[in-house]
Amino acid sequence: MGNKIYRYSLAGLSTLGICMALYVCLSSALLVALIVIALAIVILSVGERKNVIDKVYRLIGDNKALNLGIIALFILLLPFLVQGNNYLLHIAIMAGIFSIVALGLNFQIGGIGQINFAPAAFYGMGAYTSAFLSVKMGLSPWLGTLCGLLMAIVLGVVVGFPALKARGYYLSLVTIALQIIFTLMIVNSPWIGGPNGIPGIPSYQIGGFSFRTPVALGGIQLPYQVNFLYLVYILLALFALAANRLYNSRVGLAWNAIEQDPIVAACQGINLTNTQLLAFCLGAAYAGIAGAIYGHYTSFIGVENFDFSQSLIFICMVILGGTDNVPGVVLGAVLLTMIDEKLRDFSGYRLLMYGIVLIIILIIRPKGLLPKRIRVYQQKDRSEYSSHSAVVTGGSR
Amino acid sequence: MLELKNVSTRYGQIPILMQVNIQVARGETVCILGANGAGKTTLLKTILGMVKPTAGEIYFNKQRIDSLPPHNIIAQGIAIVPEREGLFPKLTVENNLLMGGYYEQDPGNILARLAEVYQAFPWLPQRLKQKAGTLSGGERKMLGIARALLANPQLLLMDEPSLGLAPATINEVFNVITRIKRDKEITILLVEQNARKALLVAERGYVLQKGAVILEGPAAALQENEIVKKSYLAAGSF
Amino acid sequence: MELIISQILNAVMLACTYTLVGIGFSLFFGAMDIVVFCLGDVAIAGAFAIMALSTVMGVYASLSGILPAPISGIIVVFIGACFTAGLVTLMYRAVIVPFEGKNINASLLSTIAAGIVIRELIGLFYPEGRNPHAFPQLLPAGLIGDNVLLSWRNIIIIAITFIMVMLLYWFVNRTKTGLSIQAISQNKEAAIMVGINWHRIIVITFLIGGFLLGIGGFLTASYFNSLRFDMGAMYGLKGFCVAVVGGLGSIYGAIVGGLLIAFVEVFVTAFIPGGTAYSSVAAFLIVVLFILFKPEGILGEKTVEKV
Repeated sequence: MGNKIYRYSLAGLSTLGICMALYVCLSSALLVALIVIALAIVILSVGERKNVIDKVYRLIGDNKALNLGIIALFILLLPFLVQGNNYLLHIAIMAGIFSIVALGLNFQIGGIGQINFAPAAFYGMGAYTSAFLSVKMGLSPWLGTLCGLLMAIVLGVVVGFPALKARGYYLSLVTIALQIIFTLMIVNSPWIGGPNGIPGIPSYQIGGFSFRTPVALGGIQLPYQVNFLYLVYILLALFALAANRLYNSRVGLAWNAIEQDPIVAACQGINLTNTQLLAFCLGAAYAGIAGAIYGHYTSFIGVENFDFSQSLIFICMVILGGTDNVPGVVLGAVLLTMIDEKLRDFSGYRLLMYGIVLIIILIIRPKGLLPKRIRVYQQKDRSEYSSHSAVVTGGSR
Repeated sequence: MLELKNVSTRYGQIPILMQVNIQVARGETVCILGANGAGKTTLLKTILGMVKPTAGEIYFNKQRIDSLPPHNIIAQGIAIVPEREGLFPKLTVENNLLMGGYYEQDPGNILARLAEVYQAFPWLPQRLKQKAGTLSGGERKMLGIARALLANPQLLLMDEPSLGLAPATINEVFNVITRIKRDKEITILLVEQNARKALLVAERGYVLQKGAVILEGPAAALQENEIVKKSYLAAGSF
Repeated sequence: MELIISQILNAVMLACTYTLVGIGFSLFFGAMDIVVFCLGDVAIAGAFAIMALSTVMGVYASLSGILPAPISGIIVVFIGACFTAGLVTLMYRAVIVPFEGKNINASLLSTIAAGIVIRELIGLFYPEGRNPHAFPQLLPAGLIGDNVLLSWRNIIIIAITFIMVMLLYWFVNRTKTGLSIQAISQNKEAAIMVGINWHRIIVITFLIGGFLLGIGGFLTASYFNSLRFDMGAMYGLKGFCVAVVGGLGSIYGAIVGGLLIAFVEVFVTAFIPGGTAYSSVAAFLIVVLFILFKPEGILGEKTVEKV
């Protein structure tokens, strides 16, 4: 019994530690953030060598409800923690939006092992569709978001179709080409603002309440970002859970089978066409929603938010965090968004940093900060001392 | 001339060769028999330095070679007739042949050897400008042998010369091997599954099973050995 | 008619600038089965080196004090090309060797990242690096006849490309090292088995390819008359497209592909109203179609996927 409480509190503490580390990164200067990240990398590497990380994972996995609760509470309290600082909240919102895109991109990179260089096009498709419909057609932003999602899926099919025939370098060229075509088309289409972008995008409304009005919560006046923060993180939670379910489902397994060898996968009865298109369409759907929200949040979108270098940044997020591992991808997206924002003062060095970070990560930690875990299949009605944990922990019976 | 002392190799965690001891004396023809997966090809690659042994020593002409890169080992006078596709399919037959003489500096020597090879394979001169990839299976094997001869090696390694060939072609290949033995002062290490043919041309043999040498002896003795008879000379092989 | 002829000439010039970088892609893909995505940036870095030699560092000026102008021009371009040869070999060591034998996605991303690093380093550290520069004219400018396009400069660009391709052809097919490159690209294991020093040949391939890239960068900068730090991204991408359309791994393919892509671009720009904006779109669409329906390219050989 004591053991159980001990494990319970340990799990809670480790989640809390992660949250606090992220908070410190968010609220402090660049140098502190970099030190925290470096420390985290050291802890992860040492922990892996001593197999501590596996235990932490199991602790967190065994106490899912508690840890999700802590994370939810952390997000809920974040506006108060940063004392309503709207810049920090903005970073947190962007981290959430990018996390959704990165989760979607991961279906392609992590799932079927194909690098898609056009996630920013999916993201932009959602943003432009929703913005165009709500600005020029006066459609409700909610409906616009839905249309953005659908159009992104259409683009997902367009990009995903070549992936059925081409792999590796050829597919990368196709996706790069489509990404560049996308940005060129936007720049050359005056009816969606061309190089000037779309300004004045309306915000979401529920009843008469616009998401762009500040709110008073618990006697504290909070900026309007709070609304978007909660919206984005509710969606992120849903999408992350869905991605996790997918990873553990037959679909996730089929994706990984295709990644290893498409011919063998087909011989096992996996429908290559549907399964691969699904990876692209789902990814596009994630990115499309994120893009639409981005537009309605910032009220302005321009082509530079959706170009090839933005795609590379999304790829960096997935690779840095850990391909095919939902917490890893989210971590990668959150970390890179924060570093990126903190590098605003050195914006000239921004892309250089991405290039160097990508090379270093690929060389020293090719599987990312939190590498993919081995799938564990358990019976649904597992009791607290399931056979799995009993075996691995050496028997706590 | 060639000596392997307690050589072990592994791919990752999987051991392929275990403490293999093999000696080949100058002028000898030695065959190594083994089934699929016995480690025959790995053995040849280990000699050539393409696979580094995890333990043991390899000597060629009394010189230790196991830490050298492949091109340095081959430059000392070892040539190989690779299994199946050892050719450069888009190069002409002539260029394929010339790649065999990679380490010969003197063009006169190369011309002399070419003449020799043309004599041994009379069909070659007419096909010089043809792409090697368009040759038939038997012709490719012959070209592989011809290419190895162009290096004028002291030691000739042959990796399953009979693999994937029709019976008549196999006979032809082994006739060529016999001729090479007769005409040239050359040491041959032959790796084969076709034990009957191999034991006919070889003087001595080793039997490799699951990465270890389980038998060795003169070819005649091996032919009479029960294990060899049962595993390698049973009906069905010719 | 006049218009068409001058557009054809224009397309041939553009094809020349694409061909050399396309050959670079094919050469490295042939030798190592790898696509090095930073080649465009390497080539443009070479053009920057040539520009630095002739302006900031004043090498060209001091050379032309002693030597006739064409010879000092050749020397400067040669030094620039040697610089790219070194740079691409450095790239090989830094971002290709660590990923040898691993998943191709790793080397793909690392070479793209290397391209960004080269590009950004130029932007940060070349004087006024982020502004467009007028490329110093090392080629004679005089016209031949009265057509604006028929200038000595353009003829020399075509001639240099032609000479480079011929030299490469001779090298690859007539020398022992060239044959070794082909041998490695066709059957690496057999190449090692005949005693080819694999590593040395690969480095030589990179040196030669890098040299060609330097010349390519120089020709591109001379053709456009201007140089920007981020030109390399698009230039490299077009080079890859050219190599794919022609047949990845085939030297002649790069020429044919270069001509096709250049003709499409030039003719879309010239003959479709408002086509300027869509010339790249058209070129990329062609590549996508090729990958979908004829992935082996025009001159490449069909490969059967290995099971």
